[in-house]
Order: sequence, then structure tokens, then C-alpha cells
Amino acid sequence: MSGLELRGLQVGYRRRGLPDLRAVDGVDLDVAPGEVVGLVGESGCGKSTLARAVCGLERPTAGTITFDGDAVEPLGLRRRPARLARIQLVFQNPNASLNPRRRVGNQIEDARAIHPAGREHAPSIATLLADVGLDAGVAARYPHEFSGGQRQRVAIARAMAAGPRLLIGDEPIASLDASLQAQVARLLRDVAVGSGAGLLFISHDLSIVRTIADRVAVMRAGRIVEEGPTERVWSAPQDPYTRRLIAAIPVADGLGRLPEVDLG
Amino acid sequence: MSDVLERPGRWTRRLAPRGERSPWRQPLAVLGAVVLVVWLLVAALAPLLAPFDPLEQSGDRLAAPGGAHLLGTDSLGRDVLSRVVFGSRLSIPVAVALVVGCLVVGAVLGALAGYLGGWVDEVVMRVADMVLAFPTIILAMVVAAALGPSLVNAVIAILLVNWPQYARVTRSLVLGAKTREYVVAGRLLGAGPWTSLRRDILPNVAAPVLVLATLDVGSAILVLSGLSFLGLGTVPPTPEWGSMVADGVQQFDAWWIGTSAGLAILSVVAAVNFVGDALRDALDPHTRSTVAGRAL
Amino acid sequence: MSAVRLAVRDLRVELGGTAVLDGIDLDVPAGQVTGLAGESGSGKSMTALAVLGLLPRGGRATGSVRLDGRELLDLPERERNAVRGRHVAMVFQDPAGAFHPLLSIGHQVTDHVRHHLRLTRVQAVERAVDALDRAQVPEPREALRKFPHQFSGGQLQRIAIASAIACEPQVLLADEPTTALDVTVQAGVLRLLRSLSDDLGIATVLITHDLAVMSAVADTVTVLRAGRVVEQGPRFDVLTRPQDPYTRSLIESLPHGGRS
Repeated sequence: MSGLELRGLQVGYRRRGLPDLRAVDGVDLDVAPGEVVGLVGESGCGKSTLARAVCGLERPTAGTITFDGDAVEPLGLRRRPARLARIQLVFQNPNASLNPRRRVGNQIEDARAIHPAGREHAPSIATLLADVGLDAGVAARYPHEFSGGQRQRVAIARAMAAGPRLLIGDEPIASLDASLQAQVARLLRDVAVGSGAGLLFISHDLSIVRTIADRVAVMRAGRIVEEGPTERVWSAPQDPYTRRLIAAIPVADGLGRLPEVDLG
Repeated sequence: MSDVLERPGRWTRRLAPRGERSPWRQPLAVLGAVVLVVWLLVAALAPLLAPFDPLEQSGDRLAAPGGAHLLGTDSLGRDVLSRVVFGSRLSIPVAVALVVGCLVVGAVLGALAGYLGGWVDEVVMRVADMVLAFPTIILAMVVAAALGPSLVNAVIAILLVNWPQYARVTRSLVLGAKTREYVVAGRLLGAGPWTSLRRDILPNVAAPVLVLATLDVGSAILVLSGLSFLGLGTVPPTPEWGSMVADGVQQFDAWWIGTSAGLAILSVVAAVNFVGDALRDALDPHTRSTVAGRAL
Repeated sequence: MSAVRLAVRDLRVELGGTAVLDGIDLDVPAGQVTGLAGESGSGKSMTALAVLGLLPRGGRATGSVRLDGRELLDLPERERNAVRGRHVAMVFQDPAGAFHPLLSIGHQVTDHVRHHLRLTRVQAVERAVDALDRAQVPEPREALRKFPHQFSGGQLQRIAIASAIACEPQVLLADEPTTALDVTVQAGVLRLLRSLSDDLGIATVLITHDLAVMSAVADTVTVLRAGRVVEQGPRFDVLTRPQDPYTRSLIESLPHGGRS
């Protein structure tokens, strides 16, 4: 089996004086190469914990994570093994995910160094930047010299430089201006799918996920409550929570319709 | 369209105009740098500048400032000005070496404790707590007394009691920094722990530690002089500012002895602090390009 | 047409010698939600701060801001203080940051009420309970005894709104009030804001970059770009027949170009 496979994944935290918190509570999910899966849920539903576990940043309390047939082990203090470095993450806040003291070109170069084809055959920095719509000249700049949207493009270029087979976007558009969100989401899809990688796109915003995902999984309180092809979930949601989620999305149609209120 | 929509926020830029934050526009930083340069020149050219031999009796005892002795003489009739000038050759380099030593030892131990956690953290921080539990000067006295009075031993004593504050600060900064997203991103892109610490973490936590160090230069001079005062540091008749202040305290009527050395210490401490502030700004990546553009 | 509560004319704000707002005109009528749209850095929040007289250091506002005919820009700081929170109230984006973490909700919701309206503690508590009730915070009396961390983000934003309306202000400035909230929670807060205008006649200024939110609650929409008004009009016209190319590009950038 190639791609990402989660089976019965559970991630829990001990809490002092409180029962353990199961942030992720028995999740089965697959992401095949070249496939775009949207993981949608509201704050605290466990979607970011799931992303961190897939990257080896959280230790599962139960269940398995396999990637191209290999088990994903927690990262700890070791160097990340090459086979697992083919899972890459694009973070929510591009202001925080780039080292402020290093030129972006150097940061992309670090990622090229672990490209499976080797540094010589990995795509050049200019190509990587061009893929995300930036000039090669910006490689010499520091992160603070970019706007938020451009910074997220740089972060995407850096993730792609590692030659990933699976790209995870953890709320990659949540801190961007509304006018950029759909654009950057589309870009993420295009570069991932264009390179043959799978994309797990995690977001609270179903209206954007819907425009790029082949499949959508809706997560609530650590569990996936509904999963299916995007258009099916959007037009005929089965789970009551999915229905509420969709009903609550306001539409810019100028009609002044107030979205439905969550009574749950 | 992306061009239209993706200009960097114009306010964020304009709210921090380049010139305003550039350290060399701050008069205090320039003043501090000038004072330090002057002191370095004084130390280097001491034999040429000093009117008398600092160790020889060159006039009446406790002569007031004026005449041949611009800053008067001390209880043994030695020229105070000459002793201040020669004292800079000892006090300034020793203070700087002390601070650098504490900084390196403390920062390395603190960074390891913060990054590795577990038993390394426990051991380093418990030892640091033990040292911090004693008043600095008393512990330094104990160590210096055990090792025997000499300048080198005094330096070792101060090093042993002074590193924990750097270790504490560095540790907490590293703890905060190691979960930052760019550090995690670096790890995901294959950086091992050492690369991560050296490349992504330390440069981003260095500024506050360096500022702490500049603030510490003054207290290093003072602690060293404290030990000298107690007879545990430099051995008389070596000219050293701290022991001159101590001398001045004993000869209270001869105010010029303590005051001259005290003002020398004050000027160095203030100058280092001013430059330290400028250094902090210069280390900020948002202003670095501007600083590099000027004569740094 | 209802009475214009807040009238902004040719408002200019300079910060450190550069103009960040350049000739803003805005009418905020009672009982309506007036939308202020634009991207980060366009001047939406600065407009609100200028109305409140809370410009950052070095900021200077010229032009005119009239509340029920009374010029605010010329007021001395003391009288400005009496207007702030009493006649013009504000709700911020991050509800968690808007409360002092160590003081009880009751303390924070009654403090300004007692100050502005010179009420006793008991009267202020009654007023706060009414306001919390109005903002649909469950069990208002118990809520007053609790602390900020005991509430979810959505509840805290309702409490912040209750606090803002406790002095019965004429104008409410809401700066991205739902941006930090989950979409299912957002819906409820938007309904609440709408009802404050509909039922209490509050003149609301809704500041948001989210045109879908704008479409749901605002009566009129003003689009700002780089400190200038590029488009102004009734909600339906601005969202469906935008005249300015910039507004058009904002709408086209939405998923599905704004259509569902």
C-alpha cells in the first residue's frame, strides 16, 4: 500500500486532576499519492494533533500510522529518517514557520539537501520559487521582507523542495487575508498534485476545502463523523454535524441571509 | 491580480521607519562607543599617558587634586590619575573576559538543559539552583579563599558563581524557542538536534542573553573589586579600580581616590550598556540590513 | 431613512508623517449595520481607533467625526473618555485577549458601568445581568462570578458584546468580531449583532475582511483600500454589482466567486 494509512489512531494527553484528553480518538484515514483529502473540523476537534502525529511530532497512544508501508515513529531527539522526511508540513502561520534570521533561499536549500534525487537533481531554487509564483530574486531576502501571502508561498516552496510524497497543510490559509485564501489553497493543490504527492489539507473552512479536495473527512471531538467524495458531502451531508457546519457558512450573495445557528 | 493584493502591509512598514530604529542614530549608542574606544586607547597607551609611575611614591601623601597631580595622590603618595590609567589595563579586560567566560559556560549549559531536557536538565538546573541560593559575593569569597588570593583565582571564583544566571535565561529562552514552528519545520526537513540548536534556535535567542551580558560587565568589575577589597583578588600594589575604590572608602577625607576610580567604573559600565542596547537592535533581523548599510 | 448617529467626514489620519487614512466619509445610521471591508492594512481598524480617539502614538486625526451632531475630534481628552465606552463602545477580534485573566467577569463587566453611569454596585450588577441576558449568555448571574478561562471563545465574545452594550451606547464598533471564532459559533454571534441593531436601534459598524460575513449582516458596505474608500453602497449592490475593479477582485477571489 502506498501513501498514508491511519488505522484506529488515538492520541491522548494526560491532564493533571482531570481525565485524560483524547485529542484524536480512533481515526481511520487514507491519503493516496496524487489525491487531495480535506480534513475539516472546528477548533479543538483534534485535526492539528492528527497532523502532528503523522509528522512524528506526537506519540500515538494507540493505533498505527504507516506511510508507504513503513511505520511512522515519533521523532524524539533523533534526526528524521529519510523515508519519513517525505512527509512535509505547511504550517498555519507563515510568520512563524520561517526562521526570521536566515535568507529564504538558504532555508529552501536545506530542504533541497534531503530531496530523494539528491541535491544535484532536485529542482532548483528558481524553479521551486517559480512554481509558487515568486521571482528567483527573492531567494536573497529575509522573511520579514515578504507579505503574509508571499511568505506562505515561500513555505510551500520550501516544503516542496524536499520532494515530498505527502504534503500536509495544517490550516495553511487561516491566517491569510480572505482574498488570498482560495488562491493559496489552489496553489497548494496544484504543486502537490503536479509533483505526484498526496495532499492532506486541514482546515476549518469547508467552503474552501470544497474547492480543492477530492475527498472530505469531517472531524469532531477526535473522531471522523463523515467521510466521502467532496461533492457528495457538500450537497448531501449524512451526519447532522456536517449539516450544521454547512448551514453555518455565510455566503457572499448580498442577500443578507443570516447563517443557521448551531443548537447542538 | 496577486500583484494587486499581495503588497506587504504598508502600515507595518511605516510604523517602524528605518532611520528611527537604527542604533547609530541613537546618540547614547554613539556616546557609549566613543567612551569605550577612548578607554581602550587609554589602556593601550597607558605608559605614554600616565604622568607618573603608578607604583612609585611621586608626591606628598593624600595630596588634593591640582598642580602636578591632577587627581591628587593616595595614602602612599602615588599619583591617582596614573593609577586610574594603568588600572584600565587590568579592570577592563578582566571584566570583559569574566563576562564572556560566564556567558559561554552558562549559555552552553543552559541551552543543553533546555533542548535535551530529562536528566541533563535536572542536573544542570539543580546545580545552578544550589549556586544561586548563596549570595554571589560570599560564595565567590569562599571559593577565592580556598584557592588562595590571586587575580586568576578570583576570576575562577567569579566564573563559578556567575554562570547560573546565564544558564537560567538561556534555558528558558531555548525552551520557548524549540517549539516554534520554524524550529519544528527545520526538524521535519531533516535537521538533527545539533543543527537545529545551532542554526534555528541559538541565533534567535542570542539577543536577550547578550544584553544581559553587557549589563553584567559593570557588576563583574564590582565583584572583582569586592574580592580585591577583601584581599582575595588582585594583590597590592597592582593598580586596579576596585581596590582603589576600597582604598578610597578607607581614606574617606581623600574623596578623590574613590571618586576617580568610581567614575572610571561608572563610565565603562554606562558605555557598555549603551552599546548593548544598540547591539540588541542590530541583532534584530528587521533592522540588520539598515545597520549593515552604515559604518558598523 | 433612520437618523445618522455617527457621521465621519473627510477623516484623515497621519502616523509619523504618512497618511494612513485619506479622506474617509462614512454615515452610521441608528438601527443599521454599517460594514467596513478591506484587507489587512487597508485602514478599517484605524478608522475605528480614530473614532474612539485611540490612535497609536504619533497619530493625528483631522476632518470631522460627529456623534449625534457633536464633534468628537475637538473634544478634550477628559470628555473623550466620557464618550468612550459610554456612547461609543468597541468589541475586538480576540475575546480571550479582551479580558483580564485574573479578574472575575462580574468585575470587568460592571466596572465601566459604575464609572460611566455612577451606579451602585448592586445596580451595576443588575444592569450587567440584563446585558448578559440580552447577549444570550446562559445563566448570567453565575457567569458574573466566573473567570475568563472558564468560557469558550464564543461565550467570551458574547460577554464582550454584553459588556459593550451595558452602558446602552449609541454606536458599537465591532472589529472582526467573529474572525477568531468557529463557523458554527460565528453564526450565533452574527445573529446577536444583527439583533442589537434591529431591536435596540444600535448603530453598528462591522469591520471585517470576510465578505461572506459582510453579506450576511451588513446593510451597507464600504470598501477600503490603502486608507481610501473605493466603493460604498447598499450591501446587495456592492456584492453583486461592484463598480470598482478592486472590489470586483476581492469578490472574485472568494471560493466560487462568492456564489455557493
